[in-house]
Amino acid sequence: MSVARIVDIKHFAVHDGPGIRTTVFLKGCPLRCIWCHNPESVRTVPEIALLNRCTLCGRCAEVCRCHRIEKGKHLIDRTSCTGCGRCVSACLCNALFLYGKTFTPEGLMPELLTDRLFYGHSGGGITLSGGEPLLAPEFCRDLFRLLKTEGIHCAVDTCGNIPWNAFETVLPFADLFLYDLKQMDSDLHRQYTGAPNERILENLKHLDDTGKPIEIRMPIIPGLNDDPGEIASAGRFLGGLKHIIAVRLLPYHSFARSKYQSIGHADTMPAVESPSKEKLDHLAAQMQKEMGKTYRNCPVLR
Amino acid sequence: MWNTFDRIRPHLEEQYRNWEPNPETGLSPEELEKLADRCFESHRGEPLILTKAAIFELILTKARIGVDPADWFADHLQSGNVMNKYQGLRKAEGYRKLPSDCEDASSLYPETGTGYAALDLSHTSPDWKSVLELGPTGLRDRALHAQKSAETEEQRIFYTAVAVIFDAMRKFIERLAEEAERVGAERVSGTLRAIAHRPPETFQEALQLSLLYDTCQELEGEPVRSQGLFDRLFLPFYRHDLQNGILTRDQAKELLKFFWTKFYAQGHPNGKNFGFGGLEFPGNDTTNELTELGFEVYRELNTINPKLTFRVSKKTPDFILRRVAECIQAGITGFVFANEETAREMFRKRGKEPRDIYDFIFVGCYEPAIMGREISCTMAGTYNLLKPVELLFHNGNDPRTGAAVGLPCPLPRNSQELEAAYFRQLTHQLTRIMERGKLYEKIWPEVNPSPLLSGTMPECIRKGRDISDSGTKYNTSGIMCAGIGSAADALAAVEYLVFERNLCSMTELKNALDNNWNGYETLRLEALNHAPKWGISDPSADAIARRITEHTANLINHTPNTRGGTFQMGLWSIDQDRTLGSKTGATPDGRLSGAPLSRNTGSTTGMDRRGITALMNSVMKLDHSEFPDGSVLDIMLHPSAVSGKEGPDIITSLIRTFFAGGGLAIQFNILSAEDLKQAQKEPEKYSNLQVRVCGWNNRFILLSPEEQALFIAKAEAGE
Ligand code: SF4
Ligand code: SF4
Ligand code: SF4
Repeated sequence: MSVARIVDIKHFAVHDGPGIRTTVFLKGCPLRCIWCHNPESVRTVPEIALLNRCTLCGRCAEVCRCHRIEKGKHLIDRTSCTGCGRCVSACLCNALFLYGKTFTPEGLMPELLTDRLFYGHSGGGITLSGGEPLLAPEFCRDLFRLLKTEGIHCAVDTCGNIPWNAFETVLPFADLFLYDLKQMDSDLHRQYTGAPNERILENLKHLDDTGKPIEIRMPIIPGLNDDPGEIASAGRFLGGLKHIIAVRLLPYHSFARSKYQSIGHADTMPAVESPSKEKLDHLAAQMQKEMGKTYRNCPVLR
Repeated sequence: MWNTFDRIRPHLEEQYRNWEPNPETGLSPEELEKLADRCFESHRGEPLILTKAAIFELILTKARIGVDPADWFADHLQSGNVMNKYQGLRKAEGYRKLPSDCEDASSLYPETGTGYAALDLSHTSPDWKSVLELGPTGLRDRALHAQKSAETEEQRIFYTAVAVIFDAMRKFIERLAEEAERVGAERVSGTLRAIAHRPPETFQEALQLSLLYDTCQELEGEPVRSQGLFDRLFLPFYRHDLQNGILTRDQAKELLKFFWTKFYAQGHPNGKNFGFGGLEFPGNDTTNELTELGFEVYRELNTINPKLTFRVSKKTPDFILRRVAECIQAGITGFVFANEETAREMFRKRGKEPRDIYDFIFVGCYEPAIMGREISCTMAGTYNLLKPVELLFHNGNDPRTGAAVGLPCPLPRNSQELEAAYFRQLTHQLTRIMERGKLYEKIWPEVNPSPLLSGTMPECIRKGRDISDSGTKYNTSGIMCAGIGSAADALAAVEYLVFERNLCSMTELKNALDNNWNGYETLRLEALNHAPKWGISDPSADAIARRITEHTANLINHTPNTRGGTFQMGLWSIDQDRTLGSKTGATPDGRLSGAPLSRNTGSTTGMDRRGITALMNSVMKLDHSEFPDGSVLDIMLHPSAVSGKEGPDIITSLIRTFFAGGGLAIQFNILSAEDLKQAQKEPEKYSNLQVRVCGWNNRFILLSPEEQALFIAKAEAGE
């Protein structure tokens, strides 16, 4: 039976595909984007997050040695943590959260079905995101298969940096792909995300050939990929594809900083301002133009 | 003449506060009061309904009036406090004569935050159809005509009172017309002249008459709590004007702006309620060009008063629902959405004829009633569903005051005993509230006959009976039940802490409550953060809520009142979540003494931790067709959760989903920067507030202060 580590499940997700959706975040990602907004989903191992409402009561330390309260500080030895979750149940303040509980597709279904009335009335469904869901292609396939028997719309949000056969595994069941495009220049891509982009672009072309609808998602990171040249080459590349249904520009925000802290990761992203609304409008217009005639009516969302 | 609204809007909004009546137009309030006192004396011994009509006539024919040439409508009347005073006197007199049975329901119950029984004169709507079809003279003549076949003296008196009062209304309108001519108010003089002697024909005449009727009924002493179904009542007049070239669409919009601003300027704290949409016989959708126009005007006005009720059925076109969703998105949230299908089922269960149901409105806030055929007294009683929990821990006594408002009982020893004890206290108290309520109903005719309001009701005219004497076809009495979330949480917490997890004994829990949880912090955290809660789609808490509401609905909905109808359960709280909560001690759900109850059908503040879909899933598990006195859910959204082109679709999907799941009414809140700042200060109350972060929504309170500041800045920038 396929299993996966789940970072979190978000209900009422309204921007991860059409309608009202539930998004399941899988743990583990092949990239290391320096601006990563989901640091809790990057590593494959379970991770304990400590939220700032901890009252230092020490109950968690009583059940596990990974926790220590010292001189008014809550210290966590994350290297010894096995992800058992006992400390989370012990905490009475909801100050601990375990990213990376293991689920089977069957185990996830009841929770995913609770909102089915909402999916039905909004044209929504389930989106698998991450991290990179297609690092666990069998799990995605098995879950989608179950969802499809219930008639539920299935979408995958992928960074694309995975072997093509992972796509093939889920293709029969996925209704929609949300595909990240971060940087057209491969060297820069490697510099910002830790990997070149050839495979990502190659997979995107393949995916386009299958005829599945694709929504492109482009994080706009000031100073890294928001110059006109970058947008132009992304737009031209997309213009050569046939099944793009929308492009969404996702403006960078520093919202993830507290998450880095809570799970004890170093945050290497330099401080930058979020792109302004005018800037986004401008980039969107440029994107629309570069994508050419075929995509005159393709929405560029922001 | 046209396009003046925006320019004079500030003046219109202050039109009552700034008004200095011209002394030449009539008597001062003091003179009026003297005259009324004499009138009252000379009518002593006569049936109250005639005295009331006489005083009413006196005011309408003698009080100072005013007409503003810049306005499209006239209604200024300096009525003073006369009617109020007599109503107060009659009430006091009536209450003195009440027997002492179940007296605690109107004395100890309010003091202990249990609820109350009362005479509810304030939740009414006239038959707007009769008003607009007949006008004051037609209404007068209808009564006089009926009088010819009157059989009893009582009926004859009733008809006389109705005729006197509508003739007084006609005289009032004529006085306004004369004043309009005197001050050269061309915008209104013709209209006033016309409706003084015939039913309205034009849009302006219909609006003017409806405004004046409202003024008169408020004067009579029964607040008008629904202005009827706007897009049905006024459609013939609107079409007439457009067809005959009397008005353009834009001019009609301008008229409506002047009209609605009247209600804003009057400043009724609860807002005047206009209904829209819904089905009509034999089951087709009624939305029309006036529905659209109304919503458009409302959006342009960007106001909070009036408030609009939109009846939504499966047949309501998506585009019009989307139009309203766009208003919500823009933060114009003064809408309540009513579910046509659940309402029909609910009315049907209460024995209402299928034909009648098409005319339902929401009276007050969200209390369903049939326009023109029902007097629903939607707050004849109120009840705190959390109170029995407090009582079952304290042998039936209210711990704060020591008052014995419940039944003596030992501490429950297991889950069965727990629920049995809860229901015993609840049944005892609700029965007393209803018994007391019946006594109030009996004295109603002596306290406040209502010839004007009754005179609009076809059934009252047919029977020759006032509404206070059950003249209408349906006569129901509502009991507002508040705090369902808190009650379910409290029972679920006892179950969890004592019987399931053995974390404490009943006695220990009682001690914790008596000490307002001081010294029991750990236990309180267990109760707050680990026990099951209402509003997170938790099966056990939801089942408790369902059992509570089923039991209560069964009890209330099958208790006859004295007016030929039954009591009706309502599941809402309005702002009484605070008043009732302030007099309720600490409860097992971790709630501190004096804290508010859960509001309406929602969760206890801050306990809806799993988002709005989970909240709605919980609420949809209740059978809302069993709450004939209404039920409503509040949804709180951050602007970013419904931003962009898809935003309105998300809102309409939420409405359609909730209605498919059987909900009766839903309303939305879009939070402003101010609200967000409050959420920063009191995060525990806003745990469910969602904000959009990159590609998903996150809970606002989980963000760092800096990030929250960013959102606040965004909200301030109106993004
Ligand atoms: S692809 Fe997404 S999850 Fe993976 S590192 Fe980049 S931003 Fe983070
Ligand atoms: S998840 Fe288990 S191993 Fe990890 S810190 Fe908590 S209790 Fe310890
Ligand atoms: S149990 Fe919770 S509140 Fe107590 S120290 Fe651990 S994390 Fe903090």
